Amino acid sequence: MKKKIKYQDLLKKIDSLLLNKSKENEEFQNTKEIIDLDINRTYFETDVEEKRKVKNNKLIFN
Amino acid sequence: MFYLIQAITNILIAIAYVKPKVNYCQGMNYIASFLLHLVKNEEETFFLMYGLFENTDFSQIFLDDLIKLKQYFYVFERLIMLYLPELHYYLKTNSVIVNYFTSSWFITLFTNSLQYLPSSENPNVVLHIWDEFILVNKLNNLKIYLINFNTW
Repeated sequence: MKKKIKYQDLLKKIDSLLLNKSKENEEFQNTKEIIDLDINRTYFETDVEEKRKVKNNKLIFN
Repeated sequence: MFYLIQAITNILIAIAYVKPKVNYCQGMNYIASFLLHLVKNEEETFFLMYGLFENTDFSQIFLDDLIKLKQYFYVFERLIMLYLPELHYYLKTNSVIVNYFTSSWFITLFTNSLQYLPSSENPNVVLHIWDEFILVNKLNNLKIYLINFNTW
């Protein structure tokens, strides 16, 4: 396993990517949004089904 | 609770970053949550999950429009036909497609369907399945799913 990855550095890098609203980062920002929606649905049962269907073409449960 | 949610989010976004081909797929949050409950450390959970994707063929099910997952569905259905013919007949006659319920088994490695009960008297089934999966790491570990299916 590549333990040389510094987890905290990685999180900082990701934070800056998410803050930088450029075109290149758009896909990654969408991923973050999908993760948030999925976690909200799992743990808080919010009604996000329709949004997720549109956003994530990998969804297969619906 | 908030910390756990934040930790799971961090882990998943970090995995999506370091494994861009895998990215994120619905159900991965169950795996992150399961591992986080197990080791109770965000960073260790990230590396465990990273190891799962890096050192087993698990990540393949998320690649190329889920081709591998579809292959699993097919093989699993054939296994049911071969080893549990009565059940296969029953499912067929009632138009039940195994993908409906097995997709979450494959994608979450049972973490959403078999409860993780660390202090329970019940055996920790999920961990046994994971042991088998990581050690064998082959398509033929579908037998686990078949056994699970048969016992239900």
